[in-house]
Amino acid sequence: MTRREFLDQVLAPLGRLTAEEREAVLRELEEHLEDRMEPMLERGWEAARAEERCLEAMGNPAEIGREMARQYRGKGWLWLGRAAVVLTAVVCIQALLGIGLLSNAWDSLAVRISPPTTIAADKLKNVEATEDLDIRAEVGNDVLRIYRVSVGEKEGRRTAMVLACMYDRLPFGIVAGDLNARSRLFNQRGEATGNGSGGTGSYGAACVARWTSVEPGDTYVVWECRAIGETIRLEVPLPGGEGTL
Amino acid sequence: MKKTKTLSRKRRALRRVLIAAAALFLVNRIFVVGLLFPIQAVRHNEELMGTGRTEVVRRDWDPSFHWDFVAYLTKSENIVMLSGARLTLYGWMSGFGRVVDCTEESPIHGGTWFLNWGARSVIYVFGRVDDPDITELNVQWTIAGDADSDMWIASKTGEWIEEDGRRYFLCSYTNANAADYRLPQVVGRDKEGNEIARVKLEQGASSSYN
Repeated sequence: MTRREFLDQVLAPLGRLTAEEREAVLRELEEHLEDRMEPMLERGWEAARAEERCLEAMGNPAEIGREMARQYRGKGWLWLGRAAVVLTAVVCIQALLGIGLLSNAWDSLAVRISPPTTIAADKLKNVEATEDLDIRAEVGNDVLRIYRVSVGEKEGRRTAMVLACMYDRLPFGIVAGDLNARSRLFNQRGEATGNGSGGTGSYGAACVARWTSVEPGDTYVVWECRAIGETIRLEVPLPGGEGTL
Repeated sequence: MKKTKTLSRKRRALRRVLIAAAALFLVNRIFVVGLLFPIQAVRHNEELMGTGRTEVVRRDWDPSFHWDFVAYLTKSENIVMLSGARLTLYGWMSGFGRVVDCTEESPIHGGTWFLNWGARSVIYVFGRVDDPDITELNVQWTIAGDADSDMWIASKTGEWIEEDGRRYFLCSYTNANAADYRLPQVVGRDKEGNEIARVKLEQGASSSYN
């Protein structure tokens, strides 16, 4: 029996194979045959004789075909595999089209490591003191983090400016929007005199600046963040130590 | 020689499904796109609006108006949210929405949401009725340009949705010019038709799509 006849007899009971499956079966059988022939050829056997002996040793081709047919039963698996390939392709195309959306993921990570300190930097003049902070609170699924407080002058008044950011508890998660509108900054007398704020935001993170007037001797300001069913109040110490301003 | 082992159809399919699932997960998480089902967009809306997990009360899909948009009325103990899911090239995406805070005691909690697609628009009025004596609701608007002209849209108990002992309502009317509809109010009446509650609805949330 020649190699061709052997392979044809193996493939006969395999029914309707896809071109890819047929190719894979042939490749496996060919490799198996070559593996068996290799030591025989090294020992000086003639190629045609070695092939014939190996084909005999491999057994009944029809039996091998029936054995292999078991692996290729079920159209359902075939279609499931094809659907998965299509889904993967679609998802990859969506990822390529949405490459710009990576900025959301970047924001979500960057704000945890190094939140932006240039927000509304031009609003405060004659800055007396600045201090980096790390005050955190959970607001729903998100984390509110107060990371910088500065004291300087704004519109002729001594003013404290606080920078805060918000991000989802899970990296790359979506943060609740509208941090700007939900946040207020009060001084020790409960006054929220700052009526403006600057900020940046994306699906990944939101950063805002709020300010309020402070008096000499003030030691803290209060950041208030409203959420559904709760209001978070965080005391933010002013820079320069206790009661020194 | 390097041996190759052919995989069975089942193993090959399972391997491909695994790769697809991993790709989908990564794209969902990192790009925030590639959502397969509209309810996943609602989960994004929850995150965007900071509501926490909500349950679907009603799904409103009107293919004759916009086949690629589904509105979802969802609820939790503290809120009622009306939000949308849009089918785009990126899969289902958040269509934004409107949240009504129900933490303060009130006989009726309600809100409005305007949606705009070029010349087409829809106005939704939705909310929750907490007063058991209210059996009928009327939504009232003042039409722009005529201060005395009120427009009444009736929503009776039969059209309400009852979930866990609470009653929710959702009315929509299409191709209404949002700019003309002002000062929305919801009036609750008892069985005899007496007015027992009147609540002004916050107006302002609107979303525009191309």
